[in-house]
Amino acid sequence: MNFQLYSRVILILFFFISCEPDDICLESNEDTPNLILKFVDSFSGENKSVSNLRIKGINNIEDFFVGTVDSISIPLNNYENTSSFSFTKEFESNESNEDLIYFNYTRNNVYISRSCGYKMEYDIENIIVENDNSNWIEDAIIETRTVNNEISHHVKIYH
Amino acid sequence: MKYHTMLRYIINLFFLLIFSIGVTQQDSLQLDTLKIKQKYGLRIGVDLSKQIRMVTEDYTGFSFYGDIRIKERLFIVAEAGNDNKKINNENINSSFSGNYIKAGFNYNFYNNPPGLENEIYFGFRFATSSFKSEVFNYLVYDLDKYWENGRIENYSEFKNLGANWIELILGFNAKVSKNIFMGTSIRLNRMISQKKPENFGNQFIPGFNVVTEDNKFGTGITYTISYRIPIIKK
Repeated sequence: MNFQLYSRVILILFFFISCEPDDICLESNEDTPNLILKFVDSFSGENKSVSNLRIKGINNIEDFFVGTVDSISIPLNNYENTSSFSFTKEFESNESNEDLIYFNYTRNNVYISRSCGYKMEYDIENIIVENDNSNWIEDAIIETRTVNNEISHHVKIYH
Repeated sequence: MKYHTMLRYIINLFFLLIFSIGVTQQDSLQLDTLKIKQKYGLRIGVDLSKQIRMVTEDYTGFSFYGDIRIKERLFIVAEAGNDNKKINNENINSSFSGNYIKAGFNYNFYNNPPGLENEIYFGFRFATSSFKSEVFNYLVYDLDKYWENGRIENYSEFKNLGANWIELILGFNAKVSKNIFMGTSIRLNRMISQKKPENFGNQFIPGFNVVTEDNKFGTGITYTISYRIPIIKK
């Protein structure tokens, strides 16, 4: 047996080991859940879509969404315990009506994995629709307080 | 990162050269005595790979090594050390620190020419580690990114963590001068059990090294320099 040969083989194996593998966060991992809103008729309780709805964070520059929907999932702010949104129906028309809505919640960070890090989950405490004497939103009812998945709606918006 | 990898390669190459020279000298050594005295004794040393890591990584640590030759080819080995590693990545800035001990044996399967005391061995260790981890800040995994993003500063500490594992080792030791040995080993670690914290993961375990996702295996390397205290001669 040749000591030199053996020792060199072991040293060559070193090079492979000294490369540390990096984990990659796959998009199949569930990220921070959004809050799912369902728009319903305030009389019948049936699904009722909002036409030309524009959703925007109050201090955000970009719109989050513009369109006609009867349910939508919105992202909550991970850095504060309140998310402030402007919900405008009939956006950019004569019947345009803007309501300001505040979601108050507590946040819990949940560890996913080495590569994905932490995601956030929320417990909704209350929802406040600012009174402007001509609100199109009649009421906002919390159906599921804990926001930890996106399986079904968490909040019903009556209008 | 690239720079660090490069540096580590250069250091590895440097060691490769040192060992090559050292080994070559050993091989050219000739003894013509017929009765070869086999030295048995206690060997103590340090793992220099820790010092290299202190240069290339955000890391501090040390490791002591000790072995006793109990039979011609068999050594009983104990290792103890401390690791303190910061992991700063895109998601989480965290640190892991703690102590470990490893015990087991090395079996030298190299047939030395007369007078030489080199070893090429395989080894086995049982290892246990006790450590804590800390999270300094993190970035929330949120694909929408609608709100202003930034790292959330939220310090948390996870104490009383632990792990047990076994190591399979392949390595060599070369006698570089009287009673001084230099050696290196590569290790395959297999986790047996680990105590994970409630809301964090053991991304690094002192003694075990980096823990990759859903993987019970890890790897380690050592560069040991040791001194033999000659007690017994046979």
